[in-house]
Amino acid sequence: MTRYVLRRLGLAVITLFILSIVVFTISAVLPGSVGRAILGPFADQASVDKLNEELGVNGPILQRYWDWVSGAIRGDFGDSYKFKAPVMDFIPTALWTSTKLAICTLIIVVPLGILGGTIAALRQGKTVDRVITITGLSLAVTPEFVIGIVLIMVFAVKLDWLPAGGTPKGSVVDQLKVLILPAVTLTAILFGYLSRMARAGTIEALNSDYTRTATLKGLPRRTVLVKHVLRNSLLPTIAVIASQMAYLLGGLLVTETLFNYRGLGLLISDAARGKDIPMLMAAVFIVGALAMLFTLAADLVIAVLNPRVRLGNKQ
Amino acid sequence: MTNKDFRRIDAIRNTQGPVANHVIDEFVAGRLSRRSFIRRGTIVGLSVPTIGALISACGSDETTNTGSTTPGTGTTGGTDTTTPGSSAAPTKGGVLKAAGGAPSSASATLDPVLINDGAGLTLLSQVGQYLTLSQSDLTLAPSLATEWSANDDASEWTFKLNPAAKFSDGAPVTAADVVASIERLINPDNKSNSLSAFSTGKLSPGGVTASDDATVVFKLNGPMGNFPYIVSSDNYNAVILPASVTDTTNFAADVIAGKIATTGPWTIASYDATTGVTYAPNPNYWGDALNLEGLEYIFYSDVAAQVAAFQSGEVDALVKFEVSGGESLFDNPEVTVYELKSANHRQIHLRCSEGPFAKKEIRQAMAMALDRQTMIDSLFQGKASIANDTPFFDVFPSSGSRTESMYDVAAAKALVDANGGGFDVDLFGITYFEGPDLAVLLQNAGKEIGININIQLRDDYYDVNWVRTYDPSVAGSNIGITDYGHRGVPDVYLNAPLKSFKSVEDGAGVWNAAEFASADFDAAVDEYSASADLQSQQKAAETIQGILQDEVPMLIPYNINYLAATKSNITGVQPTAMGHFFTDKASKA
Repeated sequence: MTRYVLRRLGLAVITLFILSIVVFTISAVLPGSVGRAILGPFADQASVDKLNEELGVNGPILQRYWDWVSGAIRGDFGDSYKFKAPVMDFIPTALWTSTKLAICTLIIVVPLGILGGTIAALRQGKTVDRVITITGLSLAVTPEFVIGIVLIMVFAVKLDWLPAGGTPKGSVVDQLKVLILPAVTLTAILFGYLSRMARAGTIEALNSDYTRTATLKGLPRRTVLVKHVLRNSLLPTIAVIASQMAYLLGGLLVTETLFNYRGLGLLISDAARGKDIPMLMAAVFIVGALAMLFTLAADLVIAVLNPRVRLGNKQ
Repeated sequence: MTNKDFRRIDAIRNTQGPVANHVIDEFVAGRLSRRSFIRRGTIVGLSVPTIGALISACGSDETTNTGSTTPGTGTTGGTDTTTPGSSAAPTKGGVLKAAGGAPSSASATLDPVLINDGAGLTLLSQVGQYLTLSQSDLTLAPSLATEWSANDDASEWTFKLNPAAKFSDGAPVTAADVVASIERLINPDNKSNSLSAFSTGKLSPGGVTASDDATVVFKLNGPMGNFPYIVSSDNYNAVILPASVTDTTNFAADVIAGKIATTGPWTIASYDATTGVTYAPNPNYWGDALNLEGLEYIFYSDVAAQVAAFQSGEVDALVKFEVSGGESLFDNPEVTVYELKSANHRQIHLRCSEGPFAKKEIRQAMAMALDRQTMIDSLFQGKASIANDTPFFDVFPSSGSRTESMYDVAAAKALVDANGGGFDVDLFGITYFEGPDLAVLLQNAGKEIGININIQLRDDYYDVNWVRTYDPSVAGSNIGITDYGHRGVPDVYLNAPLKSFKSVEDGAGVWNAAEFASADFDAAVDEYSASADLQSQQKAAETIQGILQDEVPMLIPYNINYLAATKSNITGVQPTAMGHFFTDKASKA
């Protein structure tokens, strides 16, 4: 197991290095002048040239990459061009805001998805199965902004039960009020994916030899389900949840925009549009690193739960 | 006009300079409408009581409608608000929550030198004030200056400061503060956003002096009839700060910390560059006491989110909204919509120097192929005005705008056929506002006359396909869509995008994407800008319009009305087409 963990950590370091190159390259090739983006289209060219020089955006690319990487290793991702303050004054706040929404969403969607998937699998081919599968698929293919707008119009505008958006602050209750509509929107998007994975995993486990053996041994159906079927069927679901974390933390541009939820997705989008390169690079790099960490954590959990994974690697 | 009281008129004339007297004479002679007289009168420094007395002396029993002269902001007098505010006594207390866009990169710290967008100017103008106020009806009202006047040829303007005006730290506003504030903006080393405005205003470094503590003199490089607009809220960077302020780069934080004092009704209580701003009353405000106890401005990235928050009651006001996405706000009894005539427009440049539009007949054909009324109806549900390819919009009452229809597809097609026939061309331009929809309408119009337009809208339009006059590495474009914001006078529109380019330092023609060069046009614009009297200005305007409609270096199909909204329990807010959202007289029932 130790060897497995060390091997995965080594791969993680290499991935981070590649990620840093990708992030820097993407930022470097963004079209347009940084100075022009900051000062606006009608600023005179001399001012634009002067600002570009001050920001050092015209320097050699390798030098700029080294400056950025060496700073990032020390935890210094530079100052935001827009806010004229260290980017790390903003990213942790936005990350925590996104984390709140991610946690809230997972609390709703994980039990719901697993329950829906398991019920569908147990009623495979029957009406309940079809209803769950079709509902999940329909929600998954409906654009986030459509679901979000419908929820806002019904629960915020017509019924006036919940706020139409905003960033959570104040008491826990106030924060939950703000979180519910965007979390339900994301739940609708993720439910179909998660329930399908849970359904597939459960069907596979139900058809496995060990389940048949457990049933033939005369174990109660509930025991067979909980101890043998679910334990095995949830392994792929854990991987799915881990893979969705990066999306939930940094990829919620549409949902965050619609609900005016100032998370990391909106921060990244604003940085890209305003050519706030230090902010963009740091935020994308951090989201990428977190995605990698969650994947690593999921792999380790799976390895702990399923000895075949770590033994397979050993062999 | 009948029953003129020439004794009263003469008495007033004897107290005015030659520029102001010319405006008075034009009105007395009946060559200036009442509306134009009010507007021109405020530009040349006639006070509201003086204007009212002259109108009365000329036999009109109508009252003037120029708005309040109380310090600060003025009123919505003379605007086209669809639903006027309540006339009941204002309610005291309450916090007004307004929704608007987040400031751009340049505006993020609210640095008055760099602010370049609507959100930035809305936020800045809650705490900062100007010498004069360009109101929503485009008249000028006193603000930090109580009166202003020009010398004989309008090359020198003198402003008298309001003795009551003071900063939030209690210090009086002096001429030295004005000199320092304006010099900071015209110093080319500061990357000031208002360099082009001051260039248009013919003001160079060293041109502003204090003749005493309460008098500021602007010595221009030449005559400039509309100069008071250059130091008004129209030039939104030109807020007056204490002379002791040397660094404005962290303006919002420094105002919160008390390092920078301001004159406006509000002071910044908190500022989060990602979520919004809260304001508290300025304890030393020199104007009337505020009705509201607080003001909050919340940043939104999306119009739909703003409208939803407004409809659900989370915010009380939308500082600005577009027809597209805001349809549900019209005809809603719980909503007050403010619809202001504006000079906000799009310019579609047609490159004159080379390429398929080099022949002016082809450019004329494009102008004739546009069904402007249909454009306005489909893009703005009618909430815009037809413009006929010149920046003399109907919002400028004294410019004599030409609004006759030019739409004639058959003649346009014949013109194209007679000049070499149809061709393919790439259309570049903005990707926001109604840019993409406008591009499609242009494409359809082109198709009608044999011009096949390929739409190539790009985020980097301004870097790559806009102006190459001063940067040959820029590709430029044969045809492109550019957005221009509102201005109280057309001078900026005439100079930077249309005059022949000479040098960056000169300022003229620096945004001339059409690469239009006409000595006659340049001379007419110079004459227009230098004109201190209205007749000369109108004559020059006629010449300019004639040249532009013959040469067609750009298509300007419409100018768009400015839209803002409040809940019906909010009264007294004063939006302007520039994007200000004055709240010093607002109340929340």
